[in-house]
Amino acid sequence: MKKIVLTALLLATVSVGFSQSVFDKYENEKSVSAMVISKSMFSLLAKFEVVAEDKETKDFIDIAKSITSLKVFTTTDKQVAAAMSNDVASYLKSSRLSELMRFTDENTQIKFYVQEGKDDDHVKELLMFVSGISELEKIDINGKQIETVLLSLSGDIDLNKINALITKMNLPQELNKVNQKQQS
Amino acid sequence: MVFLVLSMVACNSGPTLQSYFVEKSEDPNFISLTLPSSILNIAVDSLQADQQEALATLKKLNVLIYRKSVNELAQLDVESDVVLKILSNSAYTELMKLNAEDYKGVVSYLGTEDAIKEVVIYAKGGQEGFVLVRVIGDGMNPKYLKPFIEALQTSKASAEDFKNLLPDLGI
Repeated sequence: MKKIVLTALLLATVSVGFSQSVFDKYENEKSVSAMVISKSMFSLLAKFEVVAEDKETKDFIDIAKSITSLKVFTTTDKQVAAAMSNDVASYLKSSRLSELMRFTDENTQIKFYVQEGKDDDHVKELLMFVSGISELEKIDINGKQIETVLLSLSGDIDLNKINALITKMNLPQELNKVNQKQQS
Repeated sequence: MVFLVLSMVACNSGPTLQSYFVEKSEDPNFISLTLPSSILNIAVDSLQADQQEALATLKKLNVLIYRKSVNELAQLDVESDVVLKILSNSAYTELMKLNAEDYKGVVSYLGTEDAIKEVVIYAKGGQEGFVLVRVIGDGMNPKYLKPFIEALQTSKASAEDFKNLLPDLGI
């Protein structure tokens, strides 16, 4: 009996740990450019802007206060990109994310997954997976083309304010497409 | 008794950033610098009140530079891991982490959001070495950032002042 309880407990910790860290291994992977920004950073960033005069700054302060984590992983390595794609697939199975929309534009595919928040405008988690950019847009970073971008955003996020976040933090423009469906 | 237990826990928690800095200041492979805030050469009296307050929260900068020497290829990673392990200590609040090929960066702080005691910046540049900077202050607050930058702009410090502080780096 004790053994079963122990095993169950162990499995529970493993699965909890796993669901949080499925992408963590990319933080230290050599062929991946990673940017991880914590809740504390966003909360400081929100305080840097003492006076919010324009709408964009106000939006940024609002959204910065609501974010608990931002991770962006970029890779040009095909094998790593394939592994990332697999991890996204298995993460989707184990989490409560559902596909919000997808865009396919010649060789580029952008997929958005979200966990719904308190209303239509808010999400608890947003996952963006972009693959095959290099064949289309030839984005150059240090002479290398970006192949795959994985972006994960958690918190209580107002999708209408995401544009301020993209501009202020220099995030991939593809993220803006998350609002296209709502506008059209 | 509680104190005894606490101090034992403290002893067991391995090197701190402070002890690492002290230890490495003796190590010929490291360059260690302390920059007092006075080096900025700012005429404090001519500043506005909020700029003075902001500037007063900064005490000094501790800088530690490790440059890999030819016969120590593995040592860079060893030292780098020691620093990252200290920084992953729960006392430090991690703000951001960057990683691109061999380049690595971590920014963390000690204290609370409205009273930051220390900001730690770690940057590893390729296989060349790394730099560790401790911005030590007293009650640093994000609201002071703007007046602080304004105060910095009045600085009369020149590049020469900093150069004089640096030992011969062979650069």
